[in-house]
Amino acid sequence: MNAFLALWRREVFSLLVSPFVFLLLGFWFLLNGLMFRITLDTQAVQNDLGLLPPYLFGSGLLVWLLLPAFPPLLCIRLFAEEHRVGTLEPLLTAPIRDIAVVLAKYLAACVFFLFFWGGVLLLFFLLAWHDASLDWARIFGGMLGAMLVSFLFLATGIWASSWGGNLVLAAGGGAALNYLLLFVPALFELHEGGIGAVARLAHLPNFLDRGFAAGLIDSYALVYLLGMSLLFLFLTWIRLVSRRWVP
Amino acid sequence: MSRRFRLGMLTGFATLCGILLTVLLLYTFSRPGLRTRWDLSQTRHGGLSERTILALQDLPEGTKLTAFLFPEDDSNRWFGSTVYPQAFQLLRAMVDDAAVRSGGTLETLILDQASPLVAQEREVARLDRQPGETLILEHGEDRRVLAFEELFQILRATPDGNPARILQERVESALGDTALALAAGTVLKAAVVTGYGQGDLDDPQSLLPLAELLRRENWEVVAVKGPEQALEEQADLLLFAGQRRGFLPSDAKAMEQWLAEDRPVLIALSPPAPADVTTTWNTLLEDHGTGFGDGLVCEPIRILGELVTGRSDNAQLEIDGEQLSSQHPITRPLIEAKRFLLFAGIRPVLFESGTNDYTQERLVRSGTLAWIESPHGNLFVTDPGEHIGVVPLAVSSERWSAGMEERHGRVLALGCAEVLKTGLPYNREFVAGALQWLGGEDHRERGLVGLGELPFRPDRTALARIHNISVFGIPGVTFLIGFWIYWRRRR
Repeated sequence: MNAFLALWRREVFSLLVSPFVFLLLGFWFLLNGLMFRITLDTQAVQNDLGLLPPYLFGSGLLVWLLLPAFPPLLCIRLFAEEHRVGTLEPLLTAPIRDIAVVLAKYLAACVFFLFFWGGVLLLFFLLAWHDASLDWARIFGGMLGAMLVSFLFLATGIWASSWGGNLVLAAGGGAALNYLLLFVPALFELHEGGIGAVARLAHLPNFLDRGFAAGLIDSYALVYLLGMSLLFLFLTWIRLVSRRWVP
Repeated sequence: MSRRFRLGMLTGFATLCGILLTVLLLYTFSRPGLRTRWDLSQTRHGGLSERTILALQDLPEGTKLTAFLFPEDDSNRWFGSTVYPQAFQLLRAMVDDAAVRSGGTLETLILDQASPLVAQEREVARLDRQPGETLILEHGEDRRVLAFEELFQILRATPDGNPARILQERVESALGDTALALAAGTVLKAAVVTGYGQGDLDDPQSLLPLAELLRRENWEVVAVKGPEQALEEQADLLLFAGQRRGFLPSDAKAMEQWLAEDRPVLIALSPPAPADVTTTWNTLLEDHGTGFGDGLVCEPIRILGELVTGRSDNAQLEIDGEQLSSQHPITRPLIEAKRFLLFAGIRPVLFESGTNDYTQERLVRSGTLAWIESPHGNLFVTDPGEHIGVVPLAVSSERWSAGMEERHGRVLALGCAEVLKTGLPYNREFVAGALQWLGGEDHRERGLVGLGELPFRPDRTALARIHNISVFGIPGVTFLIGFWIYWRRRR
């Protein structure tokens, strides 16, 4: 446990002192700020701010374009970078279990990703400061959903990062996986029969748009997001373990 | 077989096990019986009520709910109106919730502009959908259709640039009513009296809106000449939407019997009803402690801050929450949902103490400045001798021991027949609540929601400040921190 906490602290610290990560965070805030500005300038949203959470956390460009791309970028340094500079082997031979390594790195990335969403939450506080009347349940519901989706995308990102020392493959592979998770269910959503039913059960924007951002928390959505995150963490662990067997 | 191959196989097997386990977990928790939803929204109306959930669970297997989310009325999009985005967001959440909470009985399909054209055309052709039809609940050949206007009451856009907006919505309650109607094995029978100058059940300017509402509220509607025929039809509810002539002796006797048997009745009499009609009703309803007064109830209207009389508008009464009874199941949900009523051309209703067998409630009253216009004075102005003050406009009455017997002796006296005819769209929730109460289903949740308006009108300075902080402030500080870290690390 001590080794886990030490590694987690080290990972959080290394993220906090990485200029690259702050560059990433700055771009995230900039793109979110622009999207927020464009959305807020529309008359429809000014007429009813209740539409803002679904636009920002469900059906908007943030979910469809930005969200799948940023978590893998944050994850490339977790395994791929360590593999590239050769520090992964000493870490895996250190007296710490492989699963603890995976979890420490993943949880560090999750904690750091809270900064990403904290900035978005600041935008709502900014509105509240200007006397806007907001439905906080929808905002926090939308944020919870968006955070859980980001945690899933971090898990896919960390798995992609564990594939090897190629940073492009780690970032691109993670982003591609995330886009697949988003777009494939959307493509088959209206199909009749089993394919359509499965697609509807895996449709991430629907979870956000019709559930979390409407203030409705669905137990299945929670199980799906957490279960899929655990699956990708398990796959990462398998990948690390198998490196000893099949390098 | 090499060690490397065996270990590779082991890795593959473990991966496969992980995937299968996840699929099994998701399959298990996707079953409707194991799905739960928590509604955290401010109004607590983001999802379905218990009543609607139970109704959905009673639906037969294979029932399908199709939602057509198309912005078909252009005027609802002018001037940045939020009508369609707001309505469709709500409908999506509700339909999704219905699919989850129905316990697997309900299959749902949402079609919108982003849906493939083939899918749109297939469903439109299959359901023979007409423009404006938004939700279609079907099982086999039995179909119930909900139009957009039935789900949302819209305040239209004005030429001076005010966008259309949703005044009220009743998606939840309409869905519940429709599910109940589709699932119900037996329906109650409502007899609408047409033999005393009330009009025709097929006439859109007369009783058709009432007949349609009754059908949507799961009543079987029959037109009867009078109370005698209603008794023969074994109707469960009798409705008088106005009355121009006095009862025939046989009908007067049948009406007495109807009331003596504690059957429910709704009587709406407008000011033009002749004196002998009101006299008969006052005698019949004496035990119930209600009846009808004479005259036309008027109120001064406020124009540019001044109270104005002498206009025909004075006979058009806007009823707000303070003028409704907060105790009664018909009006309480209206107050909670901040609904208002609009009564035009209304006569006073008597609110007196009847026999001890019945309890009365004043459901709707006028404002304190109202007066009762006498036919002999000046039009729409207060004359000496005219009553000024609060006037009861709708009174309900029922047996003290209601709830113990099968019949409650429920009577609703309303001073305006137009509320059940051309005025129905403005008072729909009131009438629907009255029908539920008269049918003994007042325990049903109504699911009315008053939409909170959340307009945000910052001035130019505030908007510029928000823009600058969101686009330059927050990202700029982050970039600066990143640069500072980079600079420190370089040193």
